[in-house]
Amino acid sequence: MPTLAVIVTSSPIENLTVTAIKLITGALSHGISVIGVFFYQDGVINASKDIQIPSDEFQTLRAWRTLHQQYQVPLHLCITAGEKRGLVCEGENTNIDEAFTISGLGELVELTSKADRVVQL
Amino acid sequence: MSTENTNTNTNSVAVLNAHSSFNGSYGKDALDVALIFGSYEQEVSLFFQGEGVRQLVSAQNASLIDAKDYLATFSALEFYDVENIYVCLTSLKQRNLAVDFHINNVNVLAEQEFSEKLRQHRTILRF
Repeated sequence: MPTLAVIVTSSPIENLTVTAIKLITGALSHGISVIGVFFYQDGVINASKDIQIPSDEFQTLRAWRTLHQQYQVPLHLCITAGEKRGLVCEGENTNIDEAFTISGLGELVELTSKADRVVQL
Repeated sequence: MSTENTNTNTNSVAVLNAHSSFNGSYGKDALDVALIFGSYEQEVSLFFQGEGVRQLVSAQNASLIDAKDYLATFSALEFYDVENIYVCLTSLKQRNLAVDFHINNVNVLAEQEFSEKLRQHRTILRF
């Protein structure tokens, strides 16, 4: 099975993020194994539970949760980039959604070396 | 000019810089990525194209705009074995910039060669 890793650098309110989700969904439906998504730069904001998007707009976090729960796609977050943007990872006060794994750039190296193809958005 | 073979390296990564030095944090984010690949002993090359070539200009003063001087960290690249650094000559010419950089061992490539060199890498990450 061919493998894909995706790097997301856009925030949850940018349409490019929707494109990333559609790309991943499309890949999965074609039998491609998505071995991980790495969130970097403004992409880390996708992991925030504090973002309130109006109900008539695309619900980005819900889509990421679905990808993680239904297809077990690992969602890796660069915590250094996250902390710069208000994400808190310690204890009960965390505002990072449970679907996301706290990681660092080392995970990007792992995904890049393992995947047959890497797509950055 | 490099004389290495033109085959795609099986696991090589190109980090392509397309933003100027202090335009957002693109430059620093790209450098951090290049250094981490280097520290994991992965084959990584740095490319500068378009506005990205401004990151190589000598004597930039980050403190004038209260920015972190991440350009100083470029000197660490060789310690992380990031030795393949390429800049697009056309981009330099378009901006009337001299072939004079704040780091050594930068390979200046014409557009065609730059493109070919980039394509030799398995993965391209653009910032």
